[in-house]
This record gives sequence, structure tokens and C-alpha cells, in this order.
Amino acid sequence: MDRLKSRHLQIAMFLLPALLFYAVLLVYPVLRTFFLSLHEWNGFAGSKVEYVAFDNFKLVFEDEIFWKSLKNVMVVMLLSIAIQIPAGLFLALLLNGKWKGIRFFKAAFFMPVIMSATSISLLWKFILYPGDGLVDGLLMKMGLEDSIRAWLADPSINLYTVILICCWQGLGVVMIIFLSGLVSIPDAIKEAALIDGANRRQRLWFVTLPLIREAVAINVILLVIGTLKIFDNIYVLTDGGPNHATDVLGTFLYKEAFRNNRFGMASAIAVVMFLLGFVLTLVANRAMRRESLDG
Amino acid sequence: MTNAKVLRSSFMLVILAILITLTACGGNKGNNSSSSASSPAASSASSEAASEAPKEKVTLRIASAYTPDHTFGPAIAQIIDEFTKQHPEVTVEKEFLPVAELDKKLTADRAANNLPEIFIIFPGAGTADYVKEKKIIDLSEYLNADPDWKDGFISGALDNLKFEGFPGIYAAPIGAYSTGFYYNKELFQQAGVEPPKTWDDLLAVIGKLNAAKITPMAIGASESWRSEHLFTALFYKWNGAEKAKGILSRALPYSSPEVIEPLNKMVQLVEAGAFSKNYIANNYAAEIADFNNGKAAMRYSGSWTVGESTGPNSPAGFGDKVGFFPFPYFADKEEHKDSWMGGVSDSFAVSSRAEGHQKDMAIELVKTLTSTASSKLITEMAHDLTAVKADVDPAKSGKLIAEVSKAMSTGKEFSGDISAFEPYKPANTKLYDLTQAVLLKGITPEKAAKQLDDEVAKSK
Repeated sequence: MDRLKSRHLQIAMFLLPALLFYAVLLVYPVLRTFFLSLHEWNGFAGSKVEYVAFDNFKLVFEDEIFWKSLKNVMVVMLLSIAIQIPAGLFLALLLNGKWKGIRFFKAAFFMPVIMSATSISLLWKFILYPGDGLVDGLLMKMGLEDSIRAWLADPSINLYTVILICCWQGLGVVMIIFLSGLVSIPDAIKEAALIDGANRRQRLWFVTLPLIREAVAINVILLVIGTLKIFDNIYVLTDGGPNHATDVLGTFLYKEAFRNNRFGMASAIAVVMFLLGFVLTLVANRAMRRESLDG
Repeated sequence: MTNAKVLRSSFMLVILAILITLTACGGNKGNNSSSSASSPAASSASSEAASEAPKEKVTLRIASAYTPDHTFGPAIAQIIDEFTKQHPEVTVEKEFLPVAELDKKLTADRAANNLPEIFIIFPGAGTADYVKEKKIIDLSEYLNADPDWKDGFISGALDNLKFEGFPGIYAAPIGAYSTGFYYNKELFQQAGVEPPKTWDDLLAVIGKLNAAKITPMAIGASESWRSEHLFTALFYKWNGAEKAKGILSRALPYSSPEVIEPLNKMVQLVEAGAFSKNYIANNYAAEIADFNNGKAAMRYSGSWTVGESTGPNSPAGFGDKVGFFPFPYFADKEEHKDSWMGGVSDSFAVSSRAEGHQKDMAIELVKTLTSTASSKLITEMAHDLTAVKADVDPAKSGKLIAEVSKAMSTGKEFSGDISAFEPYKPANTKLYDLTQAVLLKGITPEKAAKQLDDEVAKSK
């Protein structure tokens, strides 16, 4: 009995540091965010924290920039899904064969994922630099000066530029998840389809796709969560500007907290983001599960 | 002891540990605030004691925008080097960042109660908060004790660092500026135009430059402070500088014609074809590059432009091609002809966290940085104006700065960024965003003004 007791104590002691970090760095800030969302605070140590009930949420919902940011997030989310799912699947299908150099390509396509968003964004900023950047330079060399646009500054296109860059960076994850799905399809099923005389398209449509539904579901949920809290790429690429053209909930929150010193309102935005993420994940999960049960 | 009991006791242990860390954090906060609230009498007593004792080693953190790329950068680095040679017990830690980053850094430092001993502030409503929260110290006692230092500043410069309701002078200014148009004399000649005097002249010049296939103006419109500066100048030429106080007192709503008209003039510039096709993509660096490489004929900018166009980072000999003319005035508003955007800018504040010998050395370093000798060095190396009088050698500072100084002497009133009159931070941020949006034609002046008023209405 004593041995068991000391063993439990031992386990508890080993778990303690991790649990402490978890509590101090995650649980406490999350609870504090909920607390602050009902208070007004300018973020300065020692200044007053005043209870204001739901005033912060009212401020958020009355703010045009909130709705603009929300719309932008939705555009980013939908386009990311629309681009990354087919593109990721395409790459995965290409890389699911057994040909030379396949490992190199897997690594190459995955590379942007492990690079920091800041480096990627700065890299693209240079590529798209007005006038002297790679893109504008190429267009000029090809005699297409007229199609040069202010890629990151023109409010009518810059959100799409940002989305393409984010998709480029995130594609690797989608591809790897699809690849793992493809690998798990038993050879017997594929052979059976082949013997039954199914052609390439039929095999893809009626065999492969239904069997990697789980992978599609995981990818969609990851993209929904990932795009909802998107911040770093946009912060570096456009800083949400000009005039909030590319603001998303993350940059809106950041600006309210650190530029306008409204930490209460910023916390309210965080709570809204949390609820939105919770609901969307639930919906996506349900929809996907139902589909896989039906199928 | 049963299994469940062991589990429960280990769980309690964990909870206890969490509570201890949380209270430790809280306790720490309490300590910080009590130390920063220590009475000035106590801190001055301790500083006297420290100055008698053998020199203790101190570290001074200094935050500014004087990176090596900044026109002031090389001179400031040299001044600090000499200071540390004279005071070997002092280690200076430079926290130098570009202006936009510096602002974020100081906001974070302020929130964390970790402001550097010396840092740059700008006159205006934003700085008043530092004073209200007692984050920076009143320097008047030290200025009065050293008349040479106090009299070194150009007339009226120190008044910019006084704040209503708080007697004292809260920083020592180093930067001073005036704004106006810098133009490329060669390109003007090619188009056969002369520097304009009135707004209509300016529009005519823009027309002729366009006809000669020369881009009239370069502007880094992707950075919102560029449009805010343009708006400020237009506001002063239309209303006079005094009117801006109406924003601070809320006597002048943004939707009034005094604000909307200058915004309309910004749109007028865009519609007259003043800027290159992709002006919205250009940042400040591109604005400098376009002008310095002869791709645009004019820039509306501050006196720091002199350093940018004649200094080591500009094409050789380009400085000689550059001329200056004051911001054109409106013929029907001639009474505001001599209202300029300009004044004191970067000023060194000393944090109230500095104590004892560290505080003495912080003040000493600020004194050194804003001495007439330093001002001479900065003016000659940076080719720029400062807020401190100096016996400058024109052969070293260049002709252009002399031309700017001469034009500046015709100015009757100088006032800084109009945003300095907007005390409510969210509205202040919006002022930048919306002047930029107007310049990019993303919003009409009327709508922008309404959004600003709506934001102001949210302030308590």
C-alpha cells in the first residue's frame, strides 16, 4: 500500500510542473479573458478595472469594423476550404504513387508549413514589393505593365492576395492528412474495383473519395479553426489595412487591445471568437459525421 | 490510505501549488506599484546619498527611433559612445526601433511598468497620459539649475512639453521640424514650371507636369501617417493652427466644414493626378526612392527630407537638384498663409523608475544629448533641424537646410500633427485610418467625418 501511495505521489510530482504551466499560461489567461470581457480596463498595470456588464459586447457588435472583420474571416475560411481541399487532394494523389524523388517533393510541399508565418509573409512582401518586386518585375519584362496592381494595398484585391499566400503556406498540412488517408485504403478494395473494370475517374470518385471522408472532415475542421484565428500572416502582410480592408477578428482584437488600449473590448472579441469557433467546429463535426454515417 | 484518497490529496497539492503561483504574481504586482509610488522626497534623498558614495555601476536603457538608418542615428551613436567613455560606470542599452515599432514597444513597456530610463516622447495628448500616470519626471528643477542647458533650446520649444494641470516641463526636446514641398529643380525645368504659391498654382503645376509625362508627387500612401501629415497641413492652411484646439475641446466636431474641406482638398489632389498610378502601394521608403531617383517631381514632407535627399543614402549630387517651397496657401484663406505644420518632435523623457545614481546619470545623458555641442553634431551629420540652438557650419550641413530654415522664418504659427489634438485613443487611431482611406478614395470625406464623430461619441 505504501508503495502504491508513494508511486501516486511520484506521478503527481512529475505531472505538477506541466500542470502548473498549463494552469498559469492557459487556464488562467482564458478565465481572465472571460472576466475582462465584462470589465473596462486600459491595460496599464495599476489602473482601474471597472465592471461594465455587457457594454463591451455592445461596443463590439455596434462596431462596423467587427462586421467587416467577420465578413473577411468568412471569406478567408470559405476560400481556404475551396482552394486547399482540392489542391491538397490533388497533390496527395500525385504523391501517393511509387516513383523516384517522391520523398523530395513531399518535403518540398510541406516546407512552408514548418517555416514561421512572419518569414513567409516577409518573403511574399518582397516578392510583391511595388515596382521592384519579383512579380512586378516579371510582368514588366513580359510587357504586361498594365496588369500590375497594388497587390497588398489595393482594397479591391489585397484580401485575395493574402488568402493565396495563406493557402500556399497551409497546403502542406492538408496534403499530408490526405496522404495518410490514401495510404490507409486497403489494396484489396482498389484491386477489386480494378477487376470490376472501373476506370480511373470512377475509382477516384466511387472508391477513393468515400474512403477518405474522415481525412476531408479533419481537414475542414482544421481549416475552420485555423482561419478563424488567423492573425500573423495578415499582421505582417497588410496590418489589416488599408482602412480595415484586410482586417480579420484577430487583427481587430489586437488593435483594440494594443493600439486603442481597450482590453475589455478586446477580451469581448476573444469571447465572440471562442463561441464562434465552438459552434462552427460543432456544426462541421456533425455535418461530417452524418455524411459518413449516411455513406 | 485508499487510492481515491491519494488521488484527492495529490489533486489538493496541485491546486495549492497553483494558488501559490497566482498569489505570487499578485504580490509581485503590489511590490512594483509601491516602489513606483515612493515619494519624490525619498528618492531625491537617496540620490544625494548615492552621489556622495563611490560611483556605483548603473545601466541606462534608452529607447528611441535612432537606428543607424535614421538621419540622427550616426550622430546619436557617437554622442552616446563619448558619454560612456566619460562615465565608465554607466552601461547604455540602446533599444532603438523604427518609429511605428517604437510606439508599440513603449505601449507594452508602459503596461508592464517596465519603461526604459530614457525614452522618446512626442508633444501632444498622447504624452499627457504619461504625465498623469506619473510615469515620467518633471525636469524643470534640473533645467533651472543649469541655465546653459535651459537657454540652449530654441524659443518656445520647452512650452510644447508642458501639460495642463501638471506644472513642470516633462521632456527635453531634440527634434524640430517644419514641413513643406521639396521639389526636383531639373524636372520642374523640363516641364517649364515654377514653384507654386497658391493651391490653384499647385494644381496648375500638377497639370503641366502630367502633360510633360512627369509624375508630379511621390507619397508613401500605404503608411497612414503620410496622409495624416497631408491632412494636417491642409487643415492649418484652411483654418489656421489655433482651430485645431477645437478638436481637443470638442467644440469642433469632425463633421464641420472646417474638417471636411481639407479632406476634400486631398481628394482634389488625387483627382488632379498628383500621384503615380500605384501610389496606394507605396510605403515611405518607396516615396523617398521615387523622389531621389527622379521618378517624381515633388514630395510634401518634413525637414528630415533634407537628410534623406542630401545624406549618404541618396544618389551622389542629387541634393543640389532639390529645392524647397512652403505648402501652398488658399487664395481665399490668405489669413492662414503662414500657418505651418511643424514644431518640436522627438523629446527625451526620464522615467520615474530611475533612482539614485541611475537617475542622476539619466538626466546627465539627456543633458548631453540635448546640448548645443550635440545639436551642432546632429545638424551637421544629419542635415536636419533640431530643437537646440547650434553654431552650425553651413559647409557641413548643406545649402538645402539653410533654404528650409529661411523659408521657415516666414512662418507665423507652427503646430504639430493634428492627431495630437485627439485625446481619445480609438478616435486617434481612426483619424489615421480614415485620412488614409480618403486619400485612397475608399471613403468620402463626409462619411469619414461621421465615423470619427461616432467614435468620439463612444468616449466617456
